[in-house]
Amino acid sequence: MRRRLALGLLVAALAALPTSGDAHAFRIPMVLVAHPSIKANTAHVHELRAIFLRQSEQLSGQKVIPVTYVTGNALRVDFDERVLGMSADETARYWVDARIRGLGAPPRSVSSPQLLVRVVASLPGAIGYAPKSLVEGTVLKVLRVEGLAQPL
Amino acid sequence: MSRRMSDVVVVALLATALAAPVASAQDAGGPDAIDAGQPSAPPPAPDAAVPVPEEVAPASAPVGDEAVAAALANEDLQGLFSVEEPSYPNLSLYGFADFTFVKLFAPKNNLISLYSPTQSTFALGNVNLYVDSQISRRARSLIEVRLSFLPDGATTIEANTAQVRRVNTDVPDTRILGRISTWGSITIERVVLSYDFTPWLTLSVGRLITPWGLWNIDHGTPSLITVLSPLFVDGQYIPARQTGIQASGQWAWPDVRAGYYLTLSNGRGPVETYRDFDENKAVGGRVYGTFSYLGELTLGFTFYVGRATDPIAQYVRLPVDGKRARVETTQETHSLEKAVSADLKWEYKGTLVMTEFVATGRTYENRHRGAIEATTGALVSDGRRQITSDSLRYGGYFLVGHRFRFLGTMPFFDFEYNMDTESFLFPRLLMPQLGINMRPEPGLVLKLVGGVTYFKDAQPNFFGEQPKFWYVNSQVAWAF
Repeated sequence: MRRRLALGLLVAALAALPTSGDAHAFRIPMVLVAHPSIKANTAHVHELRAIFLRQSEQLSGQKVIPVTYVTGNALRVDFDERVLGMSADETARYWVDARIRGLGAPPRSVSSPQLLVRVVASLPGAIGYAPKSLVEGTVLKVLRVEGLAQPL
Repeated sequence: MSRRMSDVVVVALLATALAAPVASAQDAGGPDAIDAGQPSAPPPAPDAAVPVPEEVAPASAPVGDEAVAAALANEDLQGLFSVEEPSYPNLSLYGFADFTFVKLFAPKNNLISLYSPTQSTFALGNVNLYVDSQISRRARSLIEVRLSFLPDGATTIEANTAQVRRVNTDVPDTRILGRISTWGSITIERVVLSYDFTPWLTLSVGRLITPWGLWNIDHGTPSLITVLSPLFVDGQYIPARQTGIQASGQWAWPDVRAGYYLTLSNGRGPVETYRDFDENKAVGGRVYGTFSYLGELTLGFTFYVGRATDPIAQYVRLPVDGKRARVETTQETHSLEKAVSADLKWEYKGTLVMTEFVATGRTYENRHRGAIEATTGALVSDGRRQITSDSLRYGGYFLVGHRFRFLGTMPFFDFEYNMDTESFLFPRLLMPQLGINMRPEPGLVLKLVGGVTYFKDAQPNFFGEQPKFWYVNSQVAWAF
């Protein structure tokens, strides 16, 4: 009996170890925004992942410039978890490895959503993400994100 | 299901259900900061009605035009904010290094000790520096150099006497009496200028890292899972670097990315960094596809074809009898090399599977096989030389691991197989190994690997009967 219990506890402990695939539990409602020059109306989560990981520069055949937030920013942490499927550490590790492979630097980062909205509105081809309340009334184009279990 | 197993399953399920919210709470803005100096963000409020979390837009932050002005004052954003006035060139310096502890369990006088330390040894491995500059919006310069203690300590075996010689680069310091300095070297890993014409066409020129497989592209020790590279990578079954031109590009769809590389280079040769002796350019390429249906799966295929020429013996015929002076080549090797490689990488929820296979064949033109001095001495006891023969080399590995969030820990298993007819001493090698790779910080990697190397078909009495050597390697690698 004791051996059964000990074995069960061991299995349970291993199962409880958080893995790199575990999802982040918190949500911040935001929208995907783009400069009016962007022709696409939607973006698949896999396309966004490739764009923000600098694996691709294209959205529906058009060159885009991703803009994100500085590391540690709550919006970025949430976006990276839900769209990139990466924790903050995993994202940081990814960019360390990308640099060693000669693949280049992370997307440009800004310090606040207000600044991101102004930057994306002014830079042709820019794409980013921000709280919906900051986007209303601006010239920014809101893109629908496909492939997410819950809305961005 | 037996009673014993059912007990285990029930306990495991209960514990997992209880542990899930604990793990999630730990993940949210925990102590594992990404960058030094960046405060971890506290968990945001889950209330969907909150438009801007307080920690993102504190009351003291400027808004509106003040934010724009503040942004313009930040040099890093000027190039982003105004395409008419970019801040180019934009230079950055970074790199990586590693420190290794190795122990090969073998007798000290075994021949293997010339290739790997049989005494427990600390060693400084790579110190690589990158000079990366975005010259303009489309042009980028990337230079990578490796600092090394080599050639100091490099070991060779004299052909005729079989004496082991070790290179010593100690020299008296001319400025400080009595001080001995040991000089090293700088290896140029790559010097590349790239220009992005379109997403489907980027042209690169210079000294390029050959875009083949997975390991050769990764090449930096913080990015590599294990301590030792596969033998076919270090043995350059496909040249690790080439001097020439490369075209590359990529197409992207929602769940699929496809890309290519094409290279045209001097190929292999004794001084291929600045001379192509046969004017017969080597052609290579890689095509790959990445599929994001279940995690991320990348499949790649590489080819390389090149002719290698080495004018081994040349002399100048002086102008006599009215004839002009000319260069005479009395011994030259010509060989045609063909290589193919396939690779697969799959990442899904922390699980990583990597595998590569490469095969390369070299055929010599009969009149240009050349001759080589055997490196062991004992083979040419009668003074005869060996004639270079055609060769076939192939090898592969299979690696599987899983990365846990706890200190970025990844236990892994790796198995390598290699067959090299150009290797007289150990043509066939099998190497299973178990290890653990930890990344407690994004740029800091700790590795511990143990395994065994089987040398199949080794020359009798060179390494012992059925040569098999156990080893332990550990490494600290860091990016800066």
